Amino acid sequence: MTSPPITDSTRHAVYTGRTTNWPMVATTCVGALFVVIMGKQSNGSWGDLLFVVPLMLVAIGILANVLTASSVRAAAGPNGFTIRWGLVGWPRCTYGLDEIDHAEVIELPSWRVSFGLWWTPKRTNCTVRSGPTVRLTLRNGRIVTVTVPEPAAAVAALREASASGPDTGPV
Amino acid sequence: MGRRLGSGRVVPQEEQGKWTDGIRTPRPLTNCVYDASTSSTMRWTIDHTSRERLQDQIVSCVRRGVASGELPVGEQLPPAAELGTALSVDRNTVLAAYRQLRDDGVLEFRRGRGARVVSDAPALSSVTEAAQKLIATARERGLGTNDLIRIIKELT
Repeated sequence: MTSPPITDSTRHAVYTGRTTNWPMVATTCVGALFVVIMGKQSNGSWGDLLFVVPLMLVAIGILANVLTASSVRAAAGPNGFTIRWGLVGWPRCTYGLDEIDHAEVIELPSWRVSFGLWWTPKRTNCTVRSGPTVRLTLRNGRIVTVTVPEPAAAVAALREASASGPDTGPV
Repeated sequence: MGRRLGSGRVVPQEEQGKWTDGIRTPRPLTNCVYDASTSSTMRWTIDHTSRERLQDQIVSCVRRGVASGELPVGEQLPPAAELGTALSVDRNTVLAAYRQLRDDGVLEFRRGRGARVVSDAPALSSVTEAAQKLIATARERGLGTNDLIRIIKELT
């Protein structure tokens, strides 16, 4: 087993944080259950595709929610910024220091919270609450917004790593 | 045009709260409208060139976190593989550190729930007590803080 790559800095600080949003998952599950019960009571039967297909979609929605909105774990340091979603730490993505153009703390309004993973061609959002949030601007123009418990600490770790590591440009 | 998720006002650096080595003054979530989430956070400092074993450095980080209240009782630590990747150390090194902390009664392992803090580091309070005695003795002998630090550095 080999260790992951390390930067040329001798002493480095790494920030790790985890945010779990169980109320959100519970609300989704209760809402989905309500939809299923209502459908079943109206005219649904287990052999009816018009009932089973929406049911499957609801199940997929719950699964996606549990996987992406239940827990967000982030690590920031010399190896860049790593995000792992959900109970099993998947999906996950890592943005190396050389990929990050700018890291900052933003004040996320409640109406812009994605409550889980939300991907668009220009943005990646993984926010489970409003308030202070990390926003990374990548060199390819993509904007990544992630909920972490202490955004300032995560940004500070990235800046420290960028300052002490190899020439990766400003973070 | 739909709403732009993830947009928000940039918080100036002076408003973000400070995070310096060992001293944390996080900014409270005063403007957080929806915060039913639970969270944990930790800062790890590792020196790959130090003579101190990486395993011991990880143990020290956890002990420091527990002592400072950063890691309260019941807090879950990152999985060994994830922490190993973040710290650029082998997963087995992290596991060895976790096992050492478990043997010392600081952590407990639960199947499916990872490593959790179970103790508020009684060992550290005894160290603090011993340090207080040391300081008192040093004062009696007319030694200052710098003298004490020098002696400790020489011994370690």
